[in-house]
Parts: sequence; structure tokens; C-alpha cells
Amino acid sequence: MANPFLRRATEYIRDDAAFLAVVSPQPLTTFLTRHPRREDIFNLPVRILGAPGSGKTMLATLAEFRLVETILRDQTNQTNRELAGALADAGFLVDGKPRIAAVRLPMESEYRDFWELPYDDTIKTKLALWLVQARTMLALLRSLTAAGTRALEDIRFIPREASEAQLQQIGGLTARGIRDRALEVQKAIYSIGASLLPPKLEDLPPAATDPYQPFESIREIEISWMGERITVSPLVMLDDVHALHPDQFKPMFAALARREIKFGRWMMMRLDALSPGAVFRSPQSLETHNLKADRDFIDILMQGQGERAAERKQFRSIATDMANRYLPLVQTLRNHSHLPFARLAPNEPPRLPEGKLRDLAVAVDRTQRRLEITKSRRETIDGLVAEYFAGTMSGDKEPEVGLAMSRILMHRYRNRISGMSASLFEEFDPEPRTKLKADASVAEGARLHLHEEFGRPLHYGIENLCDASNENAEVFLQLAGALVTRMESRAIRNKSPVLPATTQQAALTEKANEIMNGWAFPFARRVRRLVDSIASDCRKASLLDNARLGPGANAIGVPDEEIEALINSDDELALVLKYAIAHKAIEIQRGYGQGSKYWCLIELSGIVCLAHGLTLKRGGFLECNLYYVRGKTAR
Amino acid sequence: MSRPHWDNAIAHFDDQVGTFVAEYFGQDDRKCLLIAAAGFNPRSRRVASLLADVLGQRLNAIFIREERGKPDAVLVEAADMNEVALRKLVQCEILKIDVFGDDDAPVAGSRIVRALGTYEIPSDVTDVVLDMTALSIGIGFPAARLLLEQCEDRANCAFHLMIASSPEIEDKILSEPDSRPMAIRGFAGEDISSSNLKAAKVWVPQLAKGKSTALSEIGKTSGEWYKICPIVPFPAGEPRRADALIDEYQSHLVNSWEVDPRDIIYASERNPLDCYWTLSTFAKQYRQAVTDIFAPTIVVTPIGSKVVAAGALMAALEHNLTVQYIETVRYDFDPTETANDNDPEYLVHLLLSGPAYGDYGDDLKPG
Repeated sequence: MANPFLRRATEYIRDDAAFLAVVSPQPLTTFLTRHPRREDIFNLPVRILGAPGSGKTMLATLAEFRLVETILRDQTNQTNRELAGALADAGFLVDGKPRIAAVRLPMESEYRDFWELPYDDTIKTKLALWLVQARTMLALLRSLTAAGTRALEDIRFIPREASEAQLQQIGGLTARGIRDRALEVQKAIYSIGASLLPPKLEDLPPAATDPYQPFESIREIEISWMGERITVSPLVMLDDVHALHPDQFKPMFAALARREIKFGRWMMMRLDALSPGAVFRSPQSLETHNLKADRDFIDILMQGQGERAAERKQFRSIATDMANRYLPLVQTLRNHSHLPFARLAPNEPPRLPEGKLRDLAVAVDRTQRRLEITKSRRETIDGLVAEYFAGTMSGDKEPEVGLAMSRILMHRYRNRISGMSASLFEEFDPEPRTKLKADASVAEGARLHLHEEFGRPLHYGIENLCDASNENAEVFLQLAGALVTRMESRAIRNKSPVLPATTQQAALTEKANEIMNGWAFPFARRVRRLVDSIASDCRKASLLDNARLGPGANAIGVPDEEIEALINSDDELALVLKYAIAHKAIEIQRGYGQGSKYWCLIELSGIVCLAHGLTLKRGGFLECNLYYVRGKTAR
Repeated sequence: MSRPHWDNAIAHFDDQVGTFVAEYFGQDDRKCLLIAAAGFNPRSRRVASLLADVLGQRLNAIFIREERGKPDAVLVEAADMNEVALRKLVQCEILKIDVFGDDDAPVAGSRIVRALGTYEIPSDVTDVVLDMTALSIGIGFPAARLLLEQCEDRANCAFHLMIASSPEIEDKILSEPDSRPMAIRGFAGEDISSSNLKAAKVWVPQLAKGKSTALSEIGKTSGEWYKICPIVPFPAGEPRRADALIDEYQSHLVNSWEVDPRDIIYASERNPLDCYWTLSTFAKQYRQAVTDIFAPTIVVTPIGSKVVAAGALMAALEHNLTVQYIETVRYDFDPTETANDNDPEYLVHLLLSGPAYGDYGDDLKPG
């Protein structure tokens, strides 16, 4: 039986009803409704930038008119009502009726191929741009008539002021005329692109070269809607425009950014498809072809647009919503589908068996003796831990965590008094200059130590699952899918599908390793060597007796100026790191100030942290340099 | 263009190939042009040396060097050694083809067409042989189409395909795929945009070891597959190879692609005509079945064994199928690897056009 979590991409969902059952309206709300320029996103050109798997295609598909109509036609359904609410908030509906007629047009490599044709650049750009427009018009008409509720005769195009002269070239204002002309243009241009040997310039068919600019000519569309006539604004969402050649994209973007165009146009692109420089820098620094962001076009960043902690929190809500929508589709769990995902993968802390707990207590006492910690100091330390437990909101206050925290604090105490002279006559138990403190970071360090010593689970619960996904929906579904498979096995064996922490940890570690073993991208083996080495060094540093780094490290820091020099060079290492970022092996955090220096943090992705048993908490890093990175990626 | 003679195409396998080459190319009036790759692949020289031994001075060659950005130095060295050896073997010219453009987009198809499109096959050449052994399909397929059409336009020029294949070695060549799936140049398929019928796209991916990421990316391009019919090698030298592939792709087959087990296509690992016949029958019957209901489109992705890919090439040419693939950015391989004595190595020869077929099939044509 198929596990919908493991479908890998919404592209594989075969019908609209299935898509609507799983699609979450959260991205609409997060990226469009709350966007400061929400009112302008249908008038100005919009660039939507995100990593692969960040949900660009899902967002675009949900906004397509075909689906909007499906949603609005059945408002008895709770899911549809929720989706309609989100669409209305994002500006796609007004008074419960469509306001926008949107279509998604995938910019396949075919458009890039036009750049290889042996013609002048302006001709090549024209051919690609006109093909885009012809296909948009055809997709729009298909979308408007998809539900079977209106015929072509029920659709009329409204021209932009002063565009009368251009109407002839687009086939007039009737849907039939516009369709026939679009078909003619698309057929002529397709034949050029698809041919093995391109025709000579003088042999190009007139249908491919005659002027054709429906985007400039059309303002609105009048359609029939449940017995009345309404007008909707057209919108094209060009997906994956990064596939175009930069020199091809430049004039196309400039053409689409013309102010007189009233046709909405969104361009969705992946950051990682750009140069290493662009990947390492912020998205704002992307080339803008003399056009200014916010003035000439609007950027919607699906990642990296705000404070990282807030982004993490935001993703948790999107991911949880997604998981709860997918869950009822798992056949085996039908009887438990009323439970939210978080209840099936609970955050309930694991507990060490009595025997192991006794072993730990003995080991901690032994440490106390070895470090010559007095009885009263031990009591003070235990008191600090008890005080922390009493005040913390954390659910994991198991006795073993307390013992491990005390042990860490004893080591810290010993380090802090190591420079002090012992008295010959009194018990040596001085107050350290820096006071000991039991806090969340010590507790997290203690959990990591317990993970190492006793295999006590470190990664479990929906929050860890979301954090391990690095704000990437596709990765989240893969990890959640691994848990769902275990839930299904339990349900089939007539056991409760609720997964204990141990099972969650095992499933997540196994899946993370499976994902890493399946890495097949340029320089994958070198990237694997790099992340394995970083992870191993981070784990060693994280497991120091005094847990110097608190929750532990999961990153290295390289001086920022070294990375800047690397980006500006022709060094292959930049390419290796670019692919590592693009394929979610690492994340980059530039300009991180610490110790009077600026660092570029190379953070291991959640998947790598899961596979190597590292913390998912951010911030802990080892100070390194580029020499280290180069050594680790060498063959 | 209809090619009814392909139903009974002339084919030779393994030892028969040596016999055929000796008897056919041994004739003094044969003059042959060989197009092959001069890459790192250990079998790059196999076909060239077989032909050179028989043809001697009557053999000319164009060797293609596929240039991929920043390849592994070890592989470049292996390719250089192969090139030197090939130069000693045959009078040849080396054609360097950039597989990626300055924006890292795959452009191999356009570049090979540009290079070969301007090449005039000498008038005294009686046979053109395309050795697909070490050519990537992004270059091999457009080259095959172009050369086949050029040979068909001439009265006395035969077009041959030859492949030396070792599935074990092929499994050891790890490829790192690009992220942009695309149709191979000249294999974009039929334009169904003007059809009033809903498109029903069937995808036929060839399952191959270690290619799941690439196939997954290609699968995502369509959006709506009416059916997905994976090809697995059977019969095969290693009888469990198909099982191993189904095991490797289990998650894709079940969860992403939702493949009906009855839709799996079995194609011989040794005989390309088996794949051709199967795909050809499938294409004909599928089109018949959905006539007036759907606009049928079949997309094939032959990214595994070259023998099976040759069959897919013939089917794509015959039925104007779309061939979707993903270019390889880098290869990872230890060139010192050689096949074990027990591993099968297949040598295949196909005669795709030429005077040998005479007026075969003419009586079947309407009118």
C-alpha cells in the first residue's frame, strides 16, 4: 500500500481531488497574505525564490484557476472552506468569487534550448517569449473551461487601454480567436525548437516571427460564474525560470517588467541554480538587470527572509499542518486518523531502565570521587539541577538527565577552580570565580552524553522532526514517512501506532542514513566526506566531559574573508560547497560575529545531524579555516 | 518515416559480430566511417579495434570527446590514453563537444547536431558505423538520428549501430546527475497542444542501478502521468538483476509512481530488438486503445544499459516518441576496473539502413 508521505513530490499526485486533500494553505498565508506588498503582487512582476522542495510548485498549483474553481464549487467540504479562506486572504478571491485567473507554466529546458539556435539574440529571445505567451493563453483557456461549466463563448478578453492596435496580432478578443492564434504561434515555434536541424533564418515560418504580445494587450477577462458575469485578472506563474540562460533571462525579465503590462506575472526560481557567489550571498544580492526590487518588481523569499528562529517556528506550523492532512490518507491508520500526527509521534521523553539508571548513578559518584568534589559541593550542584528542573517548561526531566547534568557541572567546577591553590588545613571547596549554572544548554548536553553512553533517544517528537527538515517540506515528508511506515507496522500487528521515542530515533536515523547513502549529485562523494568529517569532529567536541559547547556543535566556522576570497576565485571547492548547499547537506550562515571575528558558519543539515547523533540546536560551532575544509573534501 | 525492415532488422551478437565484420567489411569495396567516443570508458576501443583489424586504411573515424566542466583528473588521463591509442589505430579526427554551456545548462544535443550537421559524409563511404558504447545518450541519440537520415538519403550507404556492453562495468560507473531533465535534441516527440483531447502521458523509464535520483527528477517534469511502465532487464546475464532493481526502486515504484506490477516491461539485456519490438508494439496498441479518448504521448527514459537504449532509440525514431533524460555532470569510476572473467560482455551489431534491405517492406506500404 502506498505511503503518501513518501511520494516525494506533489508533482506525482494524479488528480485534483487528491491534491486538495493534502495541500496545506499555510504557504499561501505565510508568503503571500503576510507579505508587506500583498496589494501589488498581481500588478508588478514578482520573483518567488526558494530552495528545491520549499513548496513553490505546491503554492502555484493551489493558486491555479482550475483548482480555485474546484474549491469554490464545493463549499460543503471543510478542507475546501479552509482553502477558500486562505485564497481569499491572499487576494485570489473577493466576495467568495475568483478575482484572479492564474495558470502555472513550467519553464522546461525547452525554452533554454532556444538560446542554442543559430540566430541573433533578439530573435531567440522573441521566439522563447512568444512561446511563453502562446502557451500561457492556451493554458488559461484550458483552465477556464476545465470544469465544464463554461464554453469558449462564455469567455471574453478585455483589452488594456491604448492596445487596440495590437489586438489583431493576438487573434482579437474572443476566446476562440485568441486560442486559434495562440495555437498557430505555439505550433510554429515548437517546430523550430523540436527540429533536429534548425531551419535557416529566412525559412522561419511567419507565424513564429510576426508580432505577438498578448501580455501587453490584455487587462482582464470576463467570464460567466454561477449565472452571472464577473471579471478576473490574468496571472501567469512561470515555474523554474532559472533554467533560462542568464543572457536570455535578462531581456525576458526586462520585457515582462514593462509597466504597461497589466497581466500578472510571477517568476519562480531556485536559489541553488545560481552561481556559487549568489548561493553564498543573500538572495537580495541577485542581479536585477537595472531594475529595482520593490520599485520595479517584488521579491517573495520562501526561505532566508527573516530571523532564523522565527522561520523555524513558522515551518513547524506549516509542516504539522501538512502531516495532519496526509495522515488520513494512510489506509492502515484509518482507525487512528482522528489523532493528530504529533500524538502518534509524541514528545514523551524516554526513560532509562532501572538497572542502567543505577549504573549511571554509580558512574557519577565515581566521577565525583575522581574529581575530588566534596559532599557539600555535590549537594550544591544537585540543588542547582533540581532548581532548574523546577523552573523549566521542558518535558524531559527524567532522573538520568539530572544525574548527567550534575556530572557535567562537576567537571565544569573542577575546571574553574583548577588555577586555585589548595589549603593544607581546610577541605578544598572554593567558590569558582564564574558561578555554575544549570540551564537548558547543560540539560541538552546531558541528553547528548546519555545518547552516547546508553543510546538514549535524542531525536523524537514533531518539533525535532520539523527542525531536522531544515524548513524543507520535501525532507520533512520523507522523515515523517519513515515514522508513518513504523506506525503502519504496529497498526497491522494490532498494536497502538503511537511510536515510543526509541522507535522514532531508530526510524529517523535509518532514514537519514538512507537519504545520505542515496546522494547522487555532483561531487556527492566529496560532500559526504566533508560532512562526515565535520560531524565526527563536532561529536567529539560535543561529548567533552564538561560539555563546553552546551548542546554541542553541529557546524564549523571559517573566517568570512576566506569564504569571500573563495567565492571570487575559480576554485573547484566553491563548486563543491555550492552543490552541498543546493542538495541540503549543509547550510551557510554568513557574517556570524563572535570573538571579534566574522565567521561563515558551515552548518550540517538536519539529516546529517540525525545520522551522526548531533544536536539540532543551532549555534555551537568549531573554529576552523578553509584549509580544514579543503583537506576534508580532497579525494 | 516508416521503416518496416526494422521488424526483421539484421542483428549480430557476440562472436557473430566478429564473423560479420570479417566477412562484410572484409570486402575491398567497403569504405567505412566510424563515429565513436574517445572517453574514459574501458570499452572505448573495443569496436574501433575490431573494425580497424579488418578495414585497415579503408576505415576513417570521428572520435567524440565529451567535455564536462571539471571532470576527475584520473578519468581525463584514462580518456587521453584511449585517445592516443585510437589515433594509432585509425585515421581520425577528434571532435570536442561541450556537454554544458557557460551557464551549466546541458547543451550536448545542440552542439553535436551543429558539429555533425555541417559534416559532409565523403561520397565514397559505403558504411557509417555509430559506436554507442561510450557515448552518452544526449549525444548518441541525436547523432544516430542525423546519421541515419543522411544515410537514408543516399542510395548506397548503410548505417550500423554497434555496442560493446558490460552491465557489471556499467554498474560501477557512477554518474552524478544534473538537476535539469530535458528532451533529447530531436526527440521532443509529437506536439499535442492543438488536440482537443486530454493528454494521457505514459512514462517508460529504464531502471538502472544508482539512477533513482535522476529518474525521480525526470518523473517530476510531467506532473500527470497516466501510467508509468518501468523497463527492467530480463532475460539478463545475472538473472536476479531485475529483482535487485525492483528492490532498489521499491519506494519509488510503490509510493511515488504507483506502478501497477502488470505494467512492468521486461527487455532483454542482450538483444536491443527485444526492447524495440516491445516498445513498438506497446506504442501501436496504446495509440489504438486511446484513439478519440485521449491524446496519447509516450515518454521514454533509457538511462541504463546501452543495449536496451539502442532498442528504445529505434522505437523513438519509429513512433516519434519523446526521449526525456538528465545529463551527467560528472562520472566517478576507477578506470583500472575490469570485468571479471565470469561477467558477461555483450557485443551487438545492428544494421539500421542500407542497400542490404533492398525494397523490403515496400509491398506493405499503402498504394
